[in-house]
Amino acid sequence: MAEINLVPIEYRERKDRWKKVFSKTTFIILFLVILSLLLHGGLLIYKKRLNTDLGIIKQEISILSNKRTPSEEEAIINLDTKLGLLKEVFQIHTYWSEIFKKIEDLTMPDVYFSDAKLTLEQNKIFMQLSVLTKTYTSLAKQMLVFQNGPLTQKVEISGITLSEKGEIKFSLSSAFPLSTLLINGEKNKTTK
Amino acid sequence: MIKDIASIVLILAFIGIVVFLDVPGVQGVLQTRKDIEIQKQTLIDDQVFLAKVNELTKIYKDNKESIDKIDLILPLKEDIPNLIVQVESLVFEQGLILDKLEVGIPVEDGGGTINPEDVRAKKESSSSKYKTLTISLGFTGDYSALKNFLKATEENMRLIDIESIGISPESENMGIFGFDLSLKTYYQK
Repeated sequence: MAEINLVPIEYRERKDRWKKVFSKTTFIILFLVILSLLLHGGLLIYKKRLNTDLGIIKQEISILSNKRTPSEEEAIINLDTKLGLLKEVFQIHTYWSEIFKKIEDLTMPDVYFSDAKLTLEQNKIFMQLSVLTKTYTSLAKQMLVFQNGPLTQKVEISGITLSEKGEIKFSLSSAFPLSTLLINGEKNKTTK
Repeated sequence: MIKDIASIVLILAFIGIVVFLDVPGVQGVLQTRKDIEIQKQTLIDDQVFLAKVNELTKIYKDNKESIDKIDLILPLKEDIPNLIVQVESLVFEQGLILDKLEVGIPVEDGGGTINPEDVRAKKESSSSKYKTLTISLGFTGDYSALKNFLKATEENMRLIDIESIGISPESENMGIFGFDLSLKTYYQK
């Protein structure tokens, strides 16, 4: 039985010609080429969109930067520095007003101080007193009171002499911790 | 033969497109996305920063009066004339008689001082950003006036610390003492 083909001869010949040039594999590769070109196109469009987004974000950053006022920021930074300094100096700020009250509390009624020298050195308050008293018992008691005092450290007595008036004269040296002045300071700060 | 040549040409074209267009394209996209993430984070940080600055600026403006007092507590300069006036006023207000007032010359490196034996001041000054001025003060008066002076000094607006106190009796007057004080005050560098 003869084969009946309704496709025109011209068309059939053209198709055959294509078949001579392109195999199935070639078509697949051609498809991949087109696909990769499409991918490249897609990437270009996507990148353009991303660049637009990036531009918008950069613009927003720029707007925010324009909103900043360097003078105000500088003032805040300066204030921060000043507060740091203030904190530093207040930490070492000493309050001496109460120390004399503490010394008075530790002084026997029949004991008198003539000269006194209080020096703040190496985180301690060194105290040197010239003391007058009537009896040796008072002297001993005074020494004991200072030694047993909650804040006094290293009490020393020297130069015990009898004055022309019959009084006992001696030198008393002691030391207080720096915290004696600072603790009081903390108290004062809270009441201010 | 023609089929093979066409295939080879297409394969080369495909490889060329992938290598020279697609791969750099993907890399470019990834890089841009990375840039966007970085910029987004920068934007967020800037927004947070600006909000914080605005908040602090508001607090600063609301407390401007108190903030200005910092310069009185810790002046920007030595301000010796004002210091002398303040110390003189502190002494006279307590009924004391001022005998001596010496203000030391500050050393360049933060507070250093004037008073060479003052180890503590040197230690403080080497690590801090403020300078120290020492004041030697001599006055006469009674014991309670000294205590009042100490209290007033503690509460003085310009911060003044006492370094040493010397007390010696005035021979003629009972209850009247000569006081020798070493004070220290600070100012910003």
